[in-house]
Amino acid sequence: MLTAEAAALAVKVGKGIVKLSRRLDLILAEKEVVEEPLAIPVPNVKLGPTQPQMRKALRQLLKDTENESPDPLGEDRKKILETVEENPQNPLLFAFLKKYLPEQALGRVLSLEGDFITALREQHPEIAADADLRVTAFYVKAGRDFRNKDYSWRIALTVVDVLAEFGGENMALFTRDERVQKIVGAILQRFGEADLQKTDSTRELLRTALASSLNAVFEVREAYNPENQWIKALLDALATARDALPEEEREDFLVGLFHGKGYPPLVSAVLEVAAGRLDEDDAVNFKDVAADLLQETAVMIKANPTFEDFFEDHWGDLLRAGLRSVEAHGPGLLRRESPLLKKVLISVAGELATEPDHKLLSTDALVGMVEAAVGAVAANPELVKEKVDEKWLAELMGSVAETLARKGIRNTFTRQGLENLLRDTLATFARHPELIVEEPGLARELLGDVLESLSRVESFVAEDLATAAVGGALSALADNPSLVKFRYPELVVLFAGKIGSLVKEKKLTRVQGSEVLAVVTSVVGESPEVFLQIERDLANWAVDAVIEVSHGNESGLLAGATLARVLRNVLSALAQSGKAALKSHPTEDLTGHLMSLLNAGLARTEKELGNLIHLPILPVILGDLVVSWARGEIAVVDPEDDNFRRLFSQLAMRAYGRET
Amino acid sequence: MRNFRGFVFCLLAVSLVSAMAGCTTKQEVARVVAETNAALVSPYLEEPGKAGMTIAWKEPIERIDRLIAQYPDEKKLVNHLRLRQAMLLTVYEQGNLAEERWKAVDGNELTTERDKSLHACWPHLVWWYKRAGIADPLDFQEMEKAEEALGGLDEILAPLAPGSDTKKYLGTIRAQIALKKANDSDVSSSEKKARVQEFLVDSLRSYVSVFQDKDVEWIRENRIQRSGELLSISDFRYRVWLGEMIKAYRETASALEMEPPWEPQWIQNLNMNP
Repeated sequence: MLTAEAAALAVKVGKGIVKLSRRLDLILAEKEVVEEPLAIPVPNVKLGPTQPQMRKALRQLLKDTENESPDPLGEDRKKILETVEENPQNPLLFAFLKKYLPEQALGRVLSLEGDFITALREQHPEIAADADLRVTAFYVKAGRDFRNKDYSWRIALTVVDVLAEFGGENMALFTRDERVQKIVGAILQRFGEADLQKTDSTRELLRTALASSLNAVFEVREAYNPENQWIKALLDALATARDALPEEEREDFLVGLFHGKGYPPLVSAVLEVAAGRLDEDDAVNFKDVAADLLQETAVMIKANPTFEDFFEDHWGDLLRAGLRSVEAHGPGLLRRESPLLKKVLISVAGELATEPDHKLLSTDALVGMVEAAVGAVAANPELVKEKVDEKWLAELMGSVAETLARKGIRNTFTRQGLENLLRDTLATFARHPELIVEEPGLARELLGDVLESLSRVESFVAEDLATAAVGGALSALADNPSLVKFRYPELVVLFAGKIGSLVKEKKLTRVQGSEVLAVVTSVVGESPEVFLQIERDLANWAVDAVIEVSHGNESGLLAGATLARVLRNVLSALAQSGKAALKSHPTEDLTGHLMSLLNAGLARTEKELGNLIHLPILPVILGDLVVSWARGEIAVVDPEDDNFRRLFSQLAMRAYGRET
Repeated sequence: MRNFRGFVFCLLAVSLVSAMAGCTTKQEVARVVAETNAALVSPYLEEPGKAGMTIAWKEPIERIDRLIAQYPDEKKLVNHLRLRQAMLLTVYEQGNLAEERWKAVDGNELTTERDKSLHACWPHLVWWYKRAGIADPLDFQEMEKAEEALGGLDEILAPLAPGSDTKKYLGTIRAQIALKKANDSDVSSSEKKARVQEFLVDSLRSYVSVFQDKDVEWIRENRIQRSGELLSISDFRYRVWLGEMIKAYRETASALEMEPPWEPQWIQNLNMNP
């Protein structure tokens, strides 16, 4: 016995099949009329006599009848004569011809179809005898269909469409959970209403499918009541922003946002935040921030339509960066009474919309920049009034975008290399917002100019050197933000360019170049008074001296990594007693004096190696030698001078004492 | 187990009914398509001496009207069906009725190269199918109409796929109109004669260009006389057209007392005698 339930199911399935077969029937009917050939014959053409033929025939007629009595042409003779000789108008000629020589007025017939049938009967009598085959001879095929998809595609979509409708109407057959029924039912119903079979392209289908599912989910979001309040906040924000738009723009708005690349990472960030130290009240505040950002940006996009694609890709990144900032600086940023985060995000979006190079900003760069901006604003709320200080923000963002936009830089550095450097730079700014509060253009001054100075060096060399220079400088700036005031970045740029040239000229290896830059940025950053205030050329002279001596040293004592170690010790010695050196030695040829000293030290080293010293201690001894020289303790710089020899031995002993 | 059998039985019964109910539209459309095609070519397929073979055009037209009335919302189906109606009436020289049907077609709902092209030139087709069978020379106004049709067809032909049926069909219509225009032209002065000669040469060259190399080779080698050659029936038809059209152009030139320098050169040297 068939149960009532089974019978009901059978009837429902049957109904589904009826619906499907009806739709398929219509599609196949359309296919028939669209794709089937159309038999079209060309008409027979009657070609009457030409003008010369008519004139000739009528002249002959005039001649043949001129002696007949009574005259068969009567009063027409004169008119015919005039027409033939004077002003031959074809219709008039034809009228006389038809009247007096009707058989000649018949002309010829061009019967292409008749000729074809005749030829067919002669050459292919078997086809000519078959009535159905003869019809096919007249077929004009439909040719190309300008829609993107053929009928197999439309049939497949119809099946999906009907299944969606069936599923939407009969959700109770699949699940007893009412919440799930509501959600899946809403999605399927939307799919069913969307008339998928009428979409002509994959893109359109995806868009329709996405719009159906997203909008359906939003409509029934109370049914699934997500336990994670942050996810709920995000969905509520999207729904609020969507509902603020005119009805005809809503579906596209959501689809655009969800097409963007930034949405999945945003959800991960939201989930991470939920597991962190923020609570449910913060989630509500976050909802307001997100909704306001989306609504404000919808207005900006109307004013700047070119910004739409970028925003669709990056709205998730903006909010994610905002969340990370909240984690770093506390939920106070979200609060309604002091909506700093909202103001920063909306201001950033506004700047991006008008920044011509915004498309160059990657996800990492954007996130880093927002974090840096939020960090600076959190540290200095006076930057924010109605919105974030426009000049300041424009300078900050412009400095990043401009760095990325410089042609020389883009030609030299790989995208990944550039991204890494930018990410590290912005991360430093985010950790030390004081760096950019006063100098919002620091990204350009440091990163942009360093990269520019290296843009003539081979790509893979330039990246290593840039990493060393920028990394060293950022480290120094992080340790001592006041370096910015001493134009430290300028010096770093100068050294980057100089070392880049030396590497290009093969005076330094790539590794040596990187090591030298790391040493210079670090030691100079540690002693700004000497190297940035007292004498900005001092480090430069020292670097010249060490590198020149290394280059001229035939025994290779300063080869490889020893060079950078020696430079570090020499620079440290000058940091320690540079002021004294500048007092006791003329600055005009300080490089020359230093070279003499270092050469003398190396000459002694060659003699004492294996007796008194071994090579690893050399940098320490040379550093100490520079300190003694700076203080005026070396009267004669000569490796064979007794005092010099004695001093060298003492310094060696002291170095070993320090080492042990 | 019994329940399951009962369920399957019910399902099969419902499916059977639905399958029987389904596909009726498709069958109806297939029927009107076949009827329309048969009606379109009927006058050209009459056996000599057998009268009364012409299928009336009215019946397929009415059947299509009924079908359209059933599915007014199926835009593509409706408009492609209307186009078939309009073409049938055009071929049967039913000027006013044809014009009415053509105007009812929404060109945006047409999707194929053939149907879009036919729709784009329907006023020229309606005029030409009615005018072609009249031997009287074209008067001044008709000459202007012919000129418009030639320009319009040129625009439609340009983007069509080389060698497509639509290109060959519309190219042939164009060549017919041009031939009639040249045939009926005033050549009473040497200047006028030179212009008409140039027009004839250009028109034939333009017609030849809608064909593919293999079609041209076939004509050049006069292969119409060789029986047993493997060739599709429509290719055979188009090649016969090409050969006959060249012959007609040469005859018209002769009737206009001209010896044009035909282009391409092979037309000049073509021997079309058996």
